[in-house]
Amino acid sequence: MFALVARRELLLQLRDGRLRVALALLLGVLIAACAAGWVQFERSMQEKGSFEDGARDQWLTQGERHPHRAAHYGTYVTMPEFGLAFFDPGLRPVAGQTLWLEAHSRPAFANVPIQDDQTLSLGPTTVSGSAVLQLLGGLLALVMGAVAVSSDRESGVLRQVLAQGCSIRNWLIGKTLGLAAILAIPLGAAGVVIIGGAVAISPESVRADAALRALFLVLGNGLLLWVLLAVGVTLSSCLRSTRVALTAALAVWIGVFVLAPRAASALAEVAAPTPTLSAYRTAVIGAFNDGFDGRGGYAAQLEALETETVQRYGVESLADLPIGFSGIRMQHMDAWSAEVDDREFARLESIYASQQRVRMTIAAFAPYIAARAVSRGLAGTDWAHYRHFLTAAERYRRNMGGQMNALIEERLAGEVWEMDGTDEDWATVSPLRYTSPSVGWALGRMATPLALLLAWATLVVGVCLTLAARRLRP
Amino acid sequence: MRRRPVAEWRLLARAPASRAIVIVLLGLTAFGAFNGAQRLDEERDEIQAALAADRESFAGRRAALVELEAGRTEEGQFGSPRKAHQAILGARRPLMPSPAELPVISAFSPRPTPSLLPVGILTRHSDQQAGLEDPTNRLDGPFDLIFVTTWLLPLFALVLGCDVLSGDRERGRAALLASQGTPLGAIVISRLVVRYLVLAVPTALIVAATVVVMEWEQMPAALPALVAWLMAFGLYLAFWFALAGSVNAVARSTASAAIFLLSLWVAVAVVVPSLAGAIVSGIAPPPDRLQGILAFRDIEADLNRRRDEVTDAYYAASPENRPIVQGDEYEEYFVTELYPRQLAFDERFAPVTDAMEDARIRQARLLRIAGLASPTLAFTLLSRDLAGEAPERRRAFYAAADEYQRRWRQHFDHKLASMRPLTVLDYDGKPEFSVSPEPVPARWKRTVLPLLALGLSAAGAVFFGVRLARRATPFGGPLHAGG
Repeated sequence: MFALVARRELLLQLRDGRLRVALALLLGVLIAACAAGWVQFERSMQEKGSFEDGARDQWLTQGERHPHRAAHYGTYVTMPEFGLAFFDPGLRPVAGQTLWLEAHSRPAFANVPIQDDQTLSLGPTTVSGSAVLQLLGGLLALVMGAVAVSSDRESGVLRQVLAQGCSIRNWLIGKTLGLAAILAIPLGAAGVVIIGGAVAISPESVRADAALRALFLVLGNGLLLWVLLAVGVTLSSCLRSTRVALTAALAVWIGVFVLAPRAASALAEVAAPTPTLSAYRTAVIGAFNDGFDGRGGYAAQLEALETETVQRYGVESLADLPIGFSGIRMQHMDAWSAEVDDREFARLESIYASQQRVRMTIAAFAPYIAARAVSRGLAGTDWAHYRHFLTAAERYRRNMGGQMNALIEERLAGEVWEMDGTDEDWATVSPLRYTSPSVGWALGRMATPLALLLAWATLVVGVCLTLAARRLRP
Repeated sequence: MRRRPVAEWRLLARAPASRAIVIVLLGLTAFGAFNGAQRLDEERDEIQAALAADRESFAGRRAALVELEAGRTEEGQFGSPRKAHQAILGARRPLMPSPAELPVISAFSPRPTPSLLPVGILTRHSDQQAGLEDPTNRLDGPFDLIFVTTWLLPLFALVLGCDVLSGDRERGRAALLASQGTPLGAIVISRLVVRYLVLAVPTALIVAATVVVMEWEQMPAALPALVAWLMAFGLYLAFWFALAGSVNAVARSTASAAIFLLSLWVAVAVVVPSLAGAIVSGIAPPPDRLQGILAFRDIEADLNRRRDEVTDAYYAASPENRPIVQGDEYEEYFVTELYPRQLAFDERFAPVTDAMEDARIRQARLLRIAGLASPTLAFTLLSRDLAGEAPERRRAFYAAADEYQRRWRQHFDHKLASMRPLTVLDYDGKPEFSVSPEPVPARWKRTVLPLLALGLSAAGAVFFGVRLARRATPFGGPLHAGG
């Protein structure tokens, strides 16, 4: 029976001129946002490509200098992006795009686009394909749902349908499915654009992975629209008039889409405050100088290192060493810096994790937050992907620093410091080769938002529709 | 007639939904004010701590020098207060921009103008790290007074104003209302005015109270800005209520009015600013940081290749600065090589940073013109400017910091480059940073266009709204004017 109701609903809705206009507007804005995202993505890839080539060239041709100064000159790498970033640029505008890999310091994403481009922070949200689909598609779903039942009740259609032997439950399910079929139109169009775009833009080696990511991304957005539709239908069934249902639906939209994301982030920051940059740096310097976990600071360690090295080589003093002690010292300094950095960064990461827990707690009431996290995760533009690249870049930086220190150790003797490396030495450092994580890895990292979204789409929708069927009176 | 607003106020106060809306809005405004104040407090604490550390550090060095000169201590290999390359070369002094007028209304991160800039002989303030905040939080944006008043408040205004007449039409009461002797237009206007005051007054009071509490010590500067902001806020809110009035004059049901008004919000607050941003970004692209980095490294590598030439050129130009002692390998590197190279670098890199600052300002100027297309955009730009986020302010601060760096270097140049010992007089006469506030005409010139845009939008919307409201009929539709 509900299939019949769904078919009728679909036909009726398609005949409604206002809905056709709304759908056309949504599709138009969606396609425009995707096209703008595509152009932006291509330009960004080109700029990053030429920047990385330039930075690599600068490293290779920096000329003669001390290897440690070469390590400080360092090199730059940029955050690689998946093809799906054209649809959901995620953190791109607010996270730095470059990492400077230099001696002693863990790199941090710098050169944040929003710092330079004032046009990126003009609205309550960054406009992109995913934002349009989620915000405007979500609004359409809520409004369609809110109007659906109450208008039939007010016009007396519901009474007639029930008089023909159709149960409220079947009618409600059929009506919701019919409306869902309408929503499948923009979602399907977005799906074609997303999957087609991702496949076209991705290199052949990761094309299958990109297609899978795109498919899951469309499904994730579909779940969000389905949830909002069900919420709208429930409001429409439980509230006494179309006017009240619609007002409630708009309030839900404002709450879920405009208010909740910022409130979640603000509360996360209140619950687990991020240290200031200067406090973080002071903590790093403090741990480096004073030590931790019963280990002395750098000065004490250096003293022990000097004694140990003299003994190991069986010489009277550092000046008699057959190798360059400054290389050993730098190696030790870098290793100690790395330990200090790892410790402090782990603390920072635990603060981020606490903030994420606050956001996900609020996502339990605002599915948009969960859907957005899933979308970014699949597009490879969430913090987990940035963190993955950061880890790879940090590993590369440590290795590069180690190579430079080894040069000092090999080519000098005693305590001498000055020496020069040449372009041939710099060429021994190979470029960073980064393998992006797979879709399985991405899904694993977004288990909580995904579970929340699935819970909303099944349990909450089930409860909502059951409640709606019980409360609905003709 | 005069009693109508009072009656409308009573009706509104009795409605639980209206009370709930106002209470929620006040709660959100207070939360926005709290976030802004907390952020500002953190910044001010950080500034105070940096200043105290700077004072302590230089007082310590000076005291150590006095002890050394009196022969009570001996000079060590490192950390000597007498050697400029050890005591001064790596020192960084915390510089602060001139205070913004209303920083508390924004918690935007990263601040376009840093609240603290460490400057020394070797610093380059071209590549500041944005901060440690989780980028996910940064993407959502701050929950501050700008967010509440720019994007949330219009939505609350639309929710309160979407049924001022359409609700009566829907319930079939509009004809009855029209027959009572008071024109429907007057009813609509009085209802809107009451709702306007209900939202505007408490919000404005919270903002004003927050500003007074946080900016008490610099009220003379903050007061004109607060008045300008309140004026802009009043115009901005009037625009949205006028839109609600216009739509109500023609809408036959609350549902259509609400949907139409929400669509207008999406268009005015989201779509138009984004479109304007895209167009402005096309005409005036943001500074290209990536090219800036490559230019930076090119200059750096080139000067490194020609390091001997650079050193020779420096000492040829300032023969009196030739080192009076033969330094060790570290001193040779830091004093005779790195220092002249840094001076040469800054001279060559200055046009690149200037071009980047110019690009920011060009974009800001165009955006202010684009504000004529959307009152939301105009209000955002005005609020951010008053919160101290205009690129002109950043450029003025960076120029002052550059000038200070020049004076700082000049003060120690001779002693540093020639490796002559520092004296207590060098410490006592060290230059101090001060930045004068922007000249008043230049400062207020920036706010004229956004204020004008808001004034025009509000005046246009109110004129149009009143005109339509006066023609409102019990059945809806402007063509039914006059019954």
